Amino acid sequence: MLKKNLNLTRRTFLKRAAALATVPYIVPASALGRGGKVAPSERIVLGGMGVGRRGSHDLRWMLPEPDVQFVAICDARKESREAVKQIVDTRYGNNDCAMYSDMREFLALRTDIDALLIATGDRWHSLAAIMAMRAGKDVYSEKPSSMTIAEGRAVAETANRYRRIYQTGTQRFSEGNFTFANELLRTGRLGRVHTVRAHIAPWDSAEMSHEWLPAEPEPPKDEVDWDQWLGPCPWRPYNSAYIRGQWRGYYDFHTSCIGEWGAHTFAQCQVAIGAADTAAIEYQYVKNESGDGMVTRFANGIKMVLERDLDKKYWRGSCGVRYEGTEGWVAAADGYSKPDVSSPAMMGDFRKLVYDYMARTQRPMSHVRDLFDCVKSRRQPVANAEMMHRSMSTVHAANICMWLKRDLRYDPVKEEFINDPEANRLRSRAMREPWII
Amino acid sequence: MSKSKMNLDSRKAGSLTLLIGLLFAGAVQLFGQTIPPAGSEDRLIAVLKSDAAHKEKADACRQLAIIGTKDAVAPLAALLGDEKLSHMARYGLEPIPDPAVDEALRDALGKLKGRPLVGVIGSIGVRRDARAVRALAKMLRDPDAQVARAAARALGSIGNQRATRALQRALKNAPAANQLALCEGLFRCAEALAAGGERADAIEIYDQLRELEDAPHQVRAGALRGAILTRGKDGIGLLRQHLRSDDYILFSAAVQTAQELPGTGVSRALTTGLSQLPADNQILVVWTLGKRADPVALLSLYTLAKKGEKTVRLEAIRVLPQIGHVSAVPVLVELLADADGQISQTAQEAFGALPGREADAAVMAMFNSGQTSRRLAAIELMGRRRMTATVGELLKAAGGADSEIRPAAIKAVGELGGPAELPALLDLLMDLETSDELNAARQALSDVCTKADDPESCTERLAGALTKAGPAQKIVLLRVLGAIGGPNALEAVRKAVDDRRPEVHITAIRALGTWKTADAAPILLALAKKFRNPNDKTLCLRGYLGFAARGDVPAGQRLSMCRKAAGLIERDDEKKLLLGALGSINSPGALALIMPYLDDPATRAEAGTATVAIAENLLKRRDSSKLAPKLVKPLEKVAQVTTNAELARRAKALLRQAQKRARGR
Repeated sequence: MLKKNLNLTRRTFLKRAAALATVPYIVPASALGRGGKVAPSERIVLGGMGVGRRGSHDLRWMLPEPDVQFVAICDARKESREAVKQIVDTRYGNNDCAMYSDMREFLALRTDIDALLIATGDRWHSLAAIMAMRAGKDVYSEKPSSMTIAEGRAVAETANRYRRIYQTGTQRFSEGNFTFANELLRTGRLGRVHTVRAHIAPWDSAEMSHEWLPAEPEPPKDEVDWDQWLGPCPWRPYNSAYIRGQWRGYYDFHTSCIGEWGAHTFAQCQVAIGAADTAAIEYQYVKNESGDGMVTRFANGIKMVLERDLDKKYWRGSCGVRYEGTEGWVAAADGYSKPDVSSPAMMGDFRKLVYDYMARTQRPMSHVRDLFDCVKSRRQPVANAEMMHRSMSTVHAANICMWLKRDLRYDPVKEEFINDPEANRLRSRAMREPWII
Repeated sequence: MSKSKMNLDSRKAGSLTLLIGLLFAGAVQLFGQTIPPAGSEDRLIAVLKSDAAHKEKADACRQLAIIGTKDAVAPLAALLGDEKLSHMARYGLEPIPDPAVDEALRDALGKLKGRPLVGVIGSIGVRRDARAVRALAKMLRDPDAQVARAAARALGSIGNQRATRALQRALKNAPAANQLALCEGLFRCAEALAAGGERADAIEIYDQLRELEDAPHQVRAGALRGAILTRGKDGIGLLRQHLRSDDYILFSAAVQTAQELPGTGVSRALTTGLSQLPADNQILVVWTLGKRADPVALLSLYTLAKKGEKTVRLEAIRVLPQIGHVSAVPVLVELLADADGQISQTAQEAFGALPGREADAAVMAMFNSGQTSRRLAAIELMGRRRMTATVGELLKAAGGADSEIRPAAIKAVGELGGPAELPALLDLLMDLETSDELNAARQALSDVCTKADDPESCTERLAGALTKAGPAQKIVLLRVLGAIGGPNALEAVRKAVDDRRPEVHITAIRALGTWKTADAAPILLALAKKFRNPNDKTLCLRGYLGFAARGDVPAGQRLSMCRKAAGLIERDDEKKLLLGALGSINSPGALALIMPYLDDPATRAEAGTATVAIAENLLKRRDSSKLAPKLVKPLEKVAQVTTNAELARRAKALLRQAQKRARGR
């Protein structure tokens, strides 16, 4: 019943978007180069960068939106470009989706594009978002929003500088179960909340590999532009495994088991406890490989514990969060039909809390729709650049704590570690030329 | 060459080999971790100075970034001109907090070209080296556009007065391709100056950018935002001016900036002349007024909500709960009766989220009215607003005379009530007849039971009611028992399978088939073995195999379930059920069970689809090279027998992949 009601609401939002968008289904040539104007009644012209397996999911959520038209894809890999073109052209019944391999050319030429879906590998998220926003595009970027604290700050600054709209693909912010959990906490139904638990990926470790896979002959540049694929990361020889998705677990490309799910769960927890504009101030090192059990603490006294949850003590699905207060607890994770609660009576308020949240914030239970609404309203989306930078700062700091194998204290105002010069050096990484911010 | 000299050289060479050997043995240990061991700087520097391979040198740079001191600066700087290692040299240098790094980077400015130069300029920007301004300013005119742009951004990061002047001068005559980089630099300067208290200078920059001819929209919009915010209270005049702009970019930038500015004065600036704006502009302002939640905007919003362009009316209604003011109650009550269904529906949704007792009182007044449509709207609102105190009234209405009201009221009792309402709902159930009412009762009973701390505590009452219920009521109760679950409910439903009335009998089997836990599976298997009626048997197998396809049951157990079911399978539809379950089990064992069905024309398609699905999933696994040999035969078979061209294509592609992995590639 809950799901049905929320679906109804999604239909309402789609109808709303369709009602507002009164221009023809296909954007006419006259609309091209309209100088960044996306009024409520107009369609949003969308493009994509680095849309692979995950990005295709995003794309399939975006294409049915009635006021959105996808027109072009940019990817360093020919195979990916063509796959996206096929999805898009099949949807529209034409052959119009344009393809680009060089993002600088793409951004310079396609001034008609209002917003970009960025679903590259993690290493490119910040830089692509910054380049896109500088070029006047609004952005939906897959998570994580940054590889370092410095990158995250630069994304937030760029969004402000050019008054761009930016949303990270932390889609649980727009799902009923997670929203309910956050609202239970916000409205005091859990009493005084003292502990929140954030799921981290139960595989791999916080320490990542610095090895190189064996060199393979580089494919022609049109097939795979390896230099562009690497982007701002240190050069390494080509190996096809990387481009097949096996880049996770490498220091240059990934944010470890902590960032893999923490990019979602830390953000959820921080928004729930009113810490969206800050980061944890204390990090207690744990003597294991993953950071499992690490206690982080926020300035408001609430502690956030990192949990791998191998024995499924807290969750039955992935990317779980759990909030514990003096009056009860709530837990949500992927695949739940409804959240777990300490008392079944709490569930009685599900519909009210979720709907009240939607009315109070004017946010739909659709993450991509929230972006598109914000492109028009110029409000910041739920997973905006500043909020994501703050929660990713906690992710990065937790990783640094594990690498240094010692407790850390962090000043979220100055965005620096306290009395720890080594930790401070790990806040940024020099980007490879010419891909510098 | 003398013999002694040769021996000496040979000894030297031997020592060098030993040194390099020791160095690399240490390097392996050194580079495995992100953080190098304490005291390893000398060894890392030695790697940089040696003939070590690219990888070792790159690793040394990466680690010196964390522990490097002044001693590491010269060896790192020596690599800045090396096309392959220039980036890693900067990677090492950039975070070292020693002025020697700045000197080295400045020194390199005059020596490098192309990408290494662009990188060094970037690092100077990151370090905000004010002593590099003069050199960078010259580079703003560099014929290499990448160099000029990097210099513009770096000057922006330095962000002092001199950097600002250099950028401002360059902007006047800049080629179009460099304009955006210069603007970026100036934005950075303005931000740095404003943060340092030099507001007048920051405002001058923003104004220059605002007036820039042919500037891209994001620059004009960003500059307007900066110009308004940096002016503080004095910025409201500029805001007001652009809230009436015909240029949509500047208008929307002004509206967006208003979201960042507190104060009633800003809200008034937004509402002044609002009714004269085009519809799109009105909607943008309405959304912003909602976000600001300033009651001063209410009258303007009410006006827009009541009449005018429909799209604007809808948005004006939608934002009212954001402000949440009591004065919205009569407005929304009036709009509930609007002739346009979309308007009244939107008003109802907004009413549902409007806080306060006044809104609750208005809902009760609607409920007590004689009009069915108003009463139905009120019941929906009672649930939406969680008006739990109204359960008694709803129970009365649930047993009342109005047949349109009854199902809605029953449903609302479930939504707002708890286990205390169970006896009353069971009493009601016994008299219900229509399917709407029975469905509502099922939902309400499930709702109140699942709110109990121990939902199974309701089982006894529900099972007790089964004994005195008619067939229609029994069906409802069986479904509720299925929703609650637990051993007692399972027993009650199992007994109901023996009911002679077919609709009850079938409902009981279906309830077992959708049981929450796999506890029902052995019962279904036993029933499948027992039943002679083929439809009953198939229904039991359907339920049983449904458990075998569930992800929450371990794969081994699911495979074992399929093996048990395989012995009972007779009809083609049963075989397809089995194949459906097997297709969800990613194991070579499942493939072995599927294989015989590839020979049967009646099941070939389903068997092929299941084989390909399993193979696809197994090949994605990290241990796919071990599993690959077991996939070859099934995939070959699918490719050979299927008549579905697309499936054959997928099978062949997977076969190639499996053969390659099996060969260890």
